[in-house]
Amino acid sequence: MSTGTVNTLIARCMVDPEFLALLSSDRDAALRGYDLDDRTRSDFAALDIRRVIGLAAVITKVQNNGLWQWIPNTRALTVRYGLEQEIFAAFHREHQALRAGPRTRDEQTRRFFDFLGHALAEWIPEETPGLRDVFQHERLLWELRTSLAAGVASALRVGFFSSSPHETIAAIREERFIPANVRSAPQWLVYHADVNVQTVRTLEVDEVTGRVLALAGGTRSIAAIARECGIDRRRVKRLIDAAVDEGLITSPVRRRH
Amino acid sequence: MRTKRPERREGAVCRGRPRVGISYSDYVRPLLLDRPDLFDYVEIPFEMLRANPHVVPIENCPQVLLHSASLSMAGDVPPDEATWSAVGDWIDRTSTPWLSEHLAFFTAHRTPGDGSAHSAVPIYDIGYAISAPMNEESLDVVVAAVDACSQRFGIPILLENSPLYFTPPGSTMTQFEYIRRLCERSPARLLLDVTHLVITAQNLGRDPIEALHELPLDRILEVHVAGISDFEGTQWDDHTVRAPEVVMDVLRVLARGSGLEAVTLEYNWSVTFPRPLLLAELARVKEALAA
Repeated sequence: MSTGTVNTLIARCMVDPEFLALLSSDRDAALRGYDLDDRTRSDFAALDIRRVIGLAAVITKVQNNGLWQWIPNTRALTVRYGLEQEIFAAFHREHQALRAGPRTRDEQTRRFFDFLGHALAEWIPEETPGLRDVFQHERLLWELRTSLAAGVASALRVGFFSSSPHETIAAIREERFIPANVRSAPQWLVYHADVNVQTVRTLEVDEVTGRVLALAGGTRSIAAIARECGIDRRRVKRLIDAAVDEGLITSPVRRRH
Repeated sequence: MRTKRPERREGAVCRGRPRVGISYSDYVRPLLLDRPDLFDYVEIPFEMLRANPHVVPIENCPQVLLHSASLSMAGDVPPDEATWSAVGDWIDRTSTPWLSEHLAFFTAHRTPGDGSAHSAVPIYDIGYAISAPMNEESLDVVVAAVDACSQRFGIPILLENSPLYFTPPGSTMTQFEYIRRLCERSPARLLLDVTHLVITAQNLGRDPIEALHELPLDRILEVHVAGISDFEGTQWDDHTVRAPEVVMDVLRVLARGSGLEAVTLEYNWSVTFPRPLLLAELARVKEALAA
């Protein structure tokens, strides 16, 4: 028996998610070709593979510790709902692919946020009150802070929330968060980053304003925005002008003459 | 950066009362400036210094303990000469009284033609410490590695126990027996990660205090303290939460009956670990040591 062979097998489980999946589904096939004595082979057969998968998840999590500074309340909720290890077990494959090549910290963060956004849409249970809204809020703040750090003069994001992320975050910070207390509170929030003051401010707006500003990225005409929102063109113009006066946007729409 | 000359003597951060230090993380930098007397020393990962020598304000650290995760002591892929040399350089530059490493492996030979993402590289680099199988063969590897380190660096080598979530296949003894045998065969001292000890004991259905007494307590110079999280009945290492009370129970036993010299708070997985929580943990540790 070679201790080195066992190290190779365990290491491969940690860096090669396909192999870990094979070891999980067909242990004989995974171990074929490896020089192991009968006892060690039998130890592998008896291995609780859930704990090996758990270790891969913990390593993935630790190697992404830098993420939490941007989404601390999302993390608090994933822990509260017992999802953290499951999320990082699922992220293992993408994390190892990221390790294989050069990447910046921002790219790594964006990839994880894309992954988590997809997981929230696809497989994380709906019975996790506040989680989706808090993640969307923290992600939008991160996007705008990244814009500020890159020197972008002004940037705007708009999000629709089914509950108040601010209320949920306050409850988490004050250690009084109870899932059942997350109340339905549909709302549109506008996030604006201003490079001159290096801050991101958040405003609650009505639905029409939220929809209009979400489309006012400079690529649509007022007429197009009015069509998509199903409202009058003059109303769109008034809202856009008010947003310009507020300093939220500078050249918001293509103007048609 | 200030360069301190090392005092190459056995020992010690202090004699008598164990000192209390902190593992470096981003939040520690302002702490060192605001509260320079709070901790007796700062434990710094060698890899952090190697990647960016200016990342840690060493001149603000009361004392530095160097902690390495690069020597893969229980593996059969030795570090390259550049790594050996860089560790030696940082031992000199920090005047660390000892070098701590993991009783674990970080790298292993790659299976040829495995077709995975890094397949051009001849080794698997986990980037994390994992226990090797605990048997005589791996003991030989570790004993040889300790000898090599001792000869090369001339300061005490401390080995840190890994948390066990499963028994590595091919093991013929428990981790506690493995550490005892290691200390019989080599001059290695121990960095007992109390949290890892508790995790290992509880995951194996053992009592942590009983397990502690199976270790050579006189070899323990330093301990780590951090938190634990539970997932589906398994205990997992977690440096973002407070240590459970059983960790303090183990610390109280060690304070009474070992050669313990340094206690490191290892809350280094969160760059925004809350300061009030850290201060509360510091108070708990000091209280446990005084008990």
